Amino acid sequence: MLLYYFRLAMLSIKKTPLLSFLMIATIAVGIAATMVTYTVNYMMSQDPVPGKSERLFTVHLSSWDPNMGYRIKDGKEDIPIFMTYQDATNLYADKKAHKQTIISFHKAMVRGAEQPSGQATMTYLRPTTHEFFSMLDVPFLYGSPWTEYDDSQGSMVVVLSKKKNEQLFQGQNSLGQEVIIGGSIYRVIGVLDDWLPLPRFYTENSDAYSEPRGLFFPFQSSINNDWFSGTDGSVYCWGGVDLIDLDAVKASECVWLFYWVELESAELRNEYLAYINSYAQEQRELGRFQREQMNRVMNVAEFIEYNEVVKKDGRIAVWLAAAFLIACLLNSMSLMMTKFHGKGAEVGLRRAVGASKVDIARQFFCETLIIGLSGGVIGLALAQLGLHITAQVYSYLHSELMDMNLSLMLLTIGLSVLSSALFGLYPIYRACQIQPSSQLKSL
Amino acid sequence: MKDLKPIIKSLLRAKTGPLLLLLQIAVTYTILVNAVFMLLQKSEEINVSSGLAESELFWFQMSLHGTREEKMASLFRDLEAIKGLDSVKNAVTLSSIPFSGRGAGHEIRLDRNAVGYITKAAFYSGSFDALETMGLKLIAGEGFTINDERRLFNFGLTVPSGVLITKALAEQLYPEDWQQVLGKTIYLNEDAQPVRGVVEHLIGPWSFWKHRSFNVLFSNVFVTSEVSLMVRVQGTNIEKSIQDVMNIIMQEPLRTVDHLEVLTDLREKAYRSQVAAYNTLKAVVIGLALITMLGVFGQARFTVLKRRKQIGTRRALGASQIAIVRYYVLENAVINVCGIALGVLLAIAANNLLVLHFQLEPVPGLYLAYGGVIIFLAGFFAVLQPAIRAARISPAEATRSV
Amino acid sequence: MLKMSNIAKIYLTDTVKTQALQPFNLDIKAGEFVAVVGPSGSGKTTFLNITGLLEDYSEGSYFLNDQDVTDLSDRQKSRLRNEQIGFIFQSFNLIPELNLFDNVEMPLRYRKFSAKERKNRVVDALTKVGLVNRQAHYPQQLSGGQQQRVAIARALAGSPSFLLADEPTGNLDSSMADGIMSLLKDINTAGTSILMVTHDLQQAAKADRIVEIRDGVLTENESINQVVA
Repeated sequence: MLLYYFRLAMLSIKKTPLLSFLMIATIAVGIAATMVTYTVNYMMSQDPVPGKSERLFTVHLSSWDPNMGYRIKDGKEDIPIFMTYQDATNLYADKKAHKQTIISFHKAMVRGAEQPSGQATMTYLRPTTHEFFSMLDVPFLYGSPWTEYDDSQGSMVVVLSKKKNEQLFQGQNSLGQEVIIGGSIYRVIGVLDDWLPLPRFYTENSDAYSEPRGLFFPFQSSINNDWFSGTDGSVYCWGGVDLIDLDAVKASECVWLFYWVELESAELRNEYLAYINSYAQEQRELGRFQREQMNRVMNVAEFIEYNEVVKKDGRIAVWLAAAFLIACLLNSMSLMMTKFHGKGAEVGLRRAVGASKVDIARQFFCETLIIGLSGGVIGLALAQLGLHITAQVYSYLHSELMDMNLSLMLLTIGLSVLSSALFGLYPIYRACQIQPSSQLKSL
Repeated sequence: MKDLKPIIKSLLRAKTGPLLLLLQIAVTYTILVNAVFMLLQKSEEINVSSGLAESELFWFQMSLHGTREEKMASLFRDLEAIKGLDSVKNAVTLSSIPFSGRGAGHEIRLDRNAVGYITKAAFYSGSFDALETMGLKLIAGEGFTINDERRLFNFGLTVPSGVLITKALAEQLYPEDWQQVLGKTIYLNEDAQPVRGVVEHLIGPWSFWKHRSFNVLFSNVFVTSEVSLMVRVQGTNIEKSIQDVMNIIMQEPLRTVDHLEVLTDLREKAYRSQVAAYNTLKAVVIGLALITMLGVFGQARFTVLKRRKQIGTRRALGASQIAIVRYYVLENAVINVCGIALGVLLAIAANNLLVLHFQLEPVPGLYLAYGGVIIFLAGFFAVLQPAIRAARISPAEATRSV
Repeated sequence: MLKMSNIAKIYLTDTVKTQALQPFNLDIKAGEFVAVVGPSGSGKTTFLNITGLLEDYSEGSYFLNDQDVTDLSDRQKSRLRNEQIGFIFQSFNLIPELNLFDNVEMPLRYRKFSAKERKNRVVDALTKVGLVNRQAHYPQQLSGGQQQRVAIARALAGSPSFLLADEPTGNLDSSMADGIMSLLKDINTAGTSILMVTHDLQQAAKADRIVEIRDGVLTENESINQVVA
């Protein structure tokens, strides 16, 4: 029977090609617009470390100037999202969490040891500690992270991103090769596989949707090298420091380092915060931390929200597109009314020869489903086109944001079928109400 | 207009079809008004004046090496050498660069002990002659001279040597009369500074920042291991000028240079996300107008089909072709106007939600009119073809049996 | 087979109450061929709609094959129409986008028949009307008389207990009309009752019995002469 209805639907669509085309086209356009904006927004708001984001926390301390708050956010005093060198190294030395890492920044001229010095390029670097990789589930193509020993010694070893390895070593297994970073020789001990946490949550929000920095090396080695660049990351200071070299910064109350911890379970959060508060209390007794204490830990989702990583423009766009889809569906619904109205005589006849209302409803429901399905398939194609265009318009964002995964594709089709069916209910109801006697004279 | 009454009667009887079209128009209108408003806001944002002589300026970051004193000396040695070039009008060093996304800022207060701040403002600290070099205009008070320029390894804000502020900031601080700000003390976070002059306009380092027109200039060269230089070109050959400057600074063996950019390019890069959003909104507006047209077109065309006999009868009874066209155009206009009227209510409601949840600015009433005109015209053009088709129906239809 | 007692129909609108059919009794036995005549607007269509279960009546009782149809649900009535009644219309009412086979098969689709059973019945019905070799054609490729034959095949396919024909020859020229009438006569002779509404007294004369409706009043007449008089 279902097959019969589908055959009837196909015949009916063929009979009024313009009307059917208009219905399918409006649905397709609405679905495409909704799914393009939804895809971008969905990809932007993904969980960057699935399965772990509940247990990863960044630590913020109330170490600021007793005379003046750090800043006002939403009408209330706020504390920095960065940490001072002394606090980061103190907490790191305590190792009170399951895992912890310090995340810093630096930039320097970089080249492969074999390349002439003229080929060195200005490169943004990521000094951090060895736990960074396991905490953020970073996949390795070759080699492995450096060790705790390397961190304590400040070994001159480097982990390259896959892309950096392609630039410097044509994508070959470069373990043991040498890279010149700012005049110092670093040995490659690891190459990452494809790794693109979206959003890139662990530092500032400005580049959350671009590629991670491509060179990682022990934080301690950048300290040993006296490396400090204030211009490729944020440094906030109080107390009249001369920001001229690393020694000055290390001794200062300037905040510039991100500090993340991994706990064994999300429930240990309060226990860990208690430890942070007791650390702050110790510091207070030593004369630091004189402001009201509002130390805090934030998990990944909380920090993404706090840091306003997902732009509100995107969410507005989704709402706009959804309203647009409703306009399209209303349009398609009024076309459906017209269409079913035109079929009044056929309905009357079918009712006369014994079709019940339910039979009629089924028949038109099948037609609606086919229209919804066609709208979905064409909408999916349009959405792909739309995402392609979006990827070009937003060329500075990572193109992975504009990729639909399988479930989004299914969602596209599903949304189209479901919404068409929903908006088809009333026209179908009306079609069923046609009296079997009323139309017979005028088929 | 004599058609109006029968049109309204027949619309009331048909109910669902026109009602759906009406709803569709209302929803479309709602989106359209909000989208057009955002579109024009974005356009304003993108085309905002920077106050700078953008096409004559380029900037770069360069590293300084050695001891503190060596760093300081090398910076001023290079600055002097650059200033001496024929292809350069002037060169300065600055802590913040417009549009670059890199810079410093403060909370601004008139009362040091106030809990909340009045606004935030970006902070441009550097050579005394930065004002003239960037092409800014001083409109009140006095600027900086060489005697005001200090050279330190920090911002040096603890010394109240005075600041210049933009007119927009002055107006924010003294809404009744911005000139009052002259000579007054303002607080940059905790540091007190007297205002010695007002600059007509200067854009901030962050293009998307809502405080981007609020800026403070200060005459202190803040030496760090990497400094930003801004160069004003002499003549029109900016490429040659860049080359000349690079030749000078690259004589320093360990020197690295980053971000070498002409300000016009920097501006373009800074606004690319707004430009992208602008283009997207433009597509939305066009799409909406098209969907409305499709809806009106489809609806009108099939009403005409349904009413062939009726139209034929009208023609047979003496209605001219013009009268038929007029009937359909008028019928569509009635639906459109009702849709827009409902849309106005929806648009206001939707806008309130947007203001509430996304802190957008409320839509001014004028945009309700803009949206109405767009929708009305879209509907008008869409109904023309079906209406003309209807007018072509032969009066003979009346006598033809079904 | 069909027994109507005191059936009446009143249309109620906000302001007017119209008595479309005065109370009447009608009894049709299996195998009868009954003609219903009367001028336009007399209530013929209302009578036909009530008989065909397309419309409810206001008063009275109606038994179809000993089953009271008064309080049946829409679904049950649909089923009765499908199984017991074959409809034939003045303007044929074939669906233009379906071929003859599909048109004839249409009512069978609303019954639980196997595909094979449906096919047998369609072929049988089309054979009876002499169009079995054209089952892949579309209605617009046929003459009016042929189209009406297809409609008759559609009515017969479900083996109903009676045919309800509404002006079956109204849209046909006289030679075609005669052909349709003799076909109906043959069908009647083969055992199917027929209730036919018509203007055409000549065609009505071929029925066993004539019922006249005038201004909502139904009267039974023994012969065609009384009607003419």
